[in-house]
Amino acid sequence: MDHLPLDLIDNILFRLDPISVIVMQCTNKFLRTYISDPKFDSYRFSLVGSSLFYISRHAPFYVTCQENIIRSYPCYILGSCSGLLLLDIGGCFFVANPFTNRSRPLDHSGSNILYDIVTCVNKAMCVGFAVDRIQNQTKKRFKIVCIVEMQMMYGFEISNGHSWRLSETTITSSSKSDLAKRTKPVYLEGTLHWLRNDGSIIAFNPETEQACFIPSVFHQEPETELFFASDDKINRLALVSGTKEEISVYTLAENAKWALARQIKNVFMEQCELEFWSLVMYDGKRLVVREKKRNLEGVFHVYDMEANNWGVLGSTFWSSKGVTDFYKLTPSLSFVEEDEVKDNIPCYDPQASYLTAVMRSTDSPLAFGGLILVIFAYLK
Amino acid sequence: MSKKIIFESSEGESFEVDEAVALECQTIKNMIEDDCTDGGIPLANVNSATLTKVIDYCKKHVEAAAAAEANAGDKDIYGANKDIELKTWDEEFVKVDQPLLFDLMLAANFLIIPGLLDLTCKTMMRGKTVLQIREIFHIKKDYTDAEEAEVRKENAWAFE
Repeated sequence: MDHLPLDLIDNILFRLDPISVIVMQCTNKFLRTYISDPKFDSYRFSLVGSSLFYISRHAPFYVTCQENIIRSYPCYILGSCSGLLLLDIGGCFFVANPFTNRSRPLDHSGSNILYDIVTCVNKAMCVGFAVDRIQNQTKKRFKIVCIVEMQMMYGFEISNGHSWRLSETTITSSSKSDLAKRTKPVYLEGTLHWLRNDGSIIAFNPETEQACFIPSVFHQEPETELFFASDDKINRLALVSGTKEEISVYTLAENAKWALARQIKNVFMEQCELEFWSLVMYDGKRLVVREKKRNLEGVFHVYDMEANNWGVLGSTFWSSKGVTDFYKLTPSLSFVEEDEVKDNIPCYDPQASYLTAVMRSTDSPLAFGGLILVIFAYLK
Repeated sequence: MSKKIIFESSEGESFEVDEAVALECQTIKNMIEDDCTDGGIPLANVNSATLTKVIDYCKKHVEAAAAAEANAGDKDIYGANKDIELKTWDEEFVKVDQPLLFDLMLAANFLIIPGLLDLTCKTMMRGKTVLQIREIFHIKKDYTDAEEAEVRKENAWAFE
C-alpha cells in the first residue's frame, strides 16, 4: 500500500457497503488481513453506532437496538431463506435482503391467520418461509406458508406475496402430538418441514401443494437441548440433541427413522459459571453452540464437523435465554421478482421507513466462509 | 458582507470563498477557529481543477442547508424532495473522470469533508470489478493467482 495513507484506507473502508468491503479485500493481501482484524470490526462497529443487525466475521452477529424506535415497533424475524429475511415490524410484514438494503412490503390483509400467529407467543414456528431461484434468472420468488393445527389434522395457508389463500390440501397424522415450540420449520429440497414433539414431521411442498406425514419417532430425553435443522451436505433433515457433556446428531433415513450420524463431546463449559447453553445452528458442516456465563457476554462455539474441533465464533451482547432467537443467513445479492427498491424512495409509512433505517444501519462487512448467523432478539 | 477566506491551490492560483463555505471543511474550520487563515490558506496537495470542484460542492451544500432551514417551519411530506434534489445534484457532481474523482477523494480526506468523502468513495466503488478497483485506488496486487482465486471463491456470493 504505497499510495494510500492508512487513515484514508479507514475512511474509505468504513464508508463502504458490505459487498464493496468484500470486493476490496479481494484486491490485496494487506487489505484482507487488515479487514479481517477483529479491531477493524469493533472500530467500524463503534462508528456505525447502534444498529439492529450487526454481522461480523469474528462475532457473527451483534445485535444492538435503537431502543426508542424498538419500543414503538417491535421487530421480529419470522424466517430466513436463501439470503432473504421475512420480517415483522410492528405488525407490518416485509421480505428483505439485509445485504443489499432491498425490501418489499407484504400485504397480509388477505391472511386469516398470519396476524394471529405472530401476535401469539410461541407460535412463530407456524410460519414457513420458502425462497427459490427462478430458473435461468438471478431473481428469486418466495412463498409463505402458515400451518394450522386442528387436532390431528393440518391445513396450510399460502401466500406468494400478493394474495393469500387456504390450500385445499390437508393432512391427518396417525398420532397426536403438538408442533415443537420455538422450532423453526426447515426448508429442504422444495419442501417445508415442521417438527412435532414426538419426532414426526409434517412436510408440505408450496409449489405442488402436496403434503405428507413422516412418522419418524424421537424421544427427547429430559434435560436435553433439541435442534431441528438440515444437513446441507447430504440434503437430509437432521435433529441435534445434546446435553452439556455430549451432542448427538441424527439424520432422517429413507425408512423415516432418525439414525444416529455423529456423536461429539460438547465444548467444555464450567458448571459453576454456566448460566445456560443452547444449540444455535447446524448445517452438516458446522455446529454452533452458545454458552452464557454468569455476568459475561454469551460466547458462540463452533464445531467443525470435518476437522473435528471446537473453535470460538464470537460473542453476543444478549444475555437472557428466552429473548434471543438465531437464524442462519446465507448471504446473497439477489432479490425477489418485481422487487421494489425502498432505498431512496421517500416513505411515509412509519414501519417502512423504520425498516429502511434498520437496513441502512445493517452492517455486514464479512461473511464467515459464506455463511452468516443471524441472531435476533425477541423484544416483547 | 460575510468574511472571505482565500485558498491557494498547488499551482498557486487563489480562490476566494465565503467563510460559511470554507467552514464545510473541518480542517479549515479548525484553522479559522485558531485564527490562522490571514493571508490565505495554501493547499499544496490540491490542484486548481480539484479545488474548483471542492468549492462547488461546499457552496451547494451550504445553500441547500440554508434553504432547508428556511423551509423548516412549514415542513410537510414533500420535505423529502429537497433531499432528492440534492442527491441528484451530488450524482451529477461526481460524473467526472476517475483521476479527478480520486483527487476529490484525497482532497475530501485532507480537508475533512465527510459528505464529499462519502460520495466519492461510494461512486468510485460502485459496480467496479476487483481489477478496476486496484487501478482506481492504486492498490497493488500482492496475491498470487491461486491465492486470489481462493479468496474470490470464499466470497463468491458477493460476485453473483
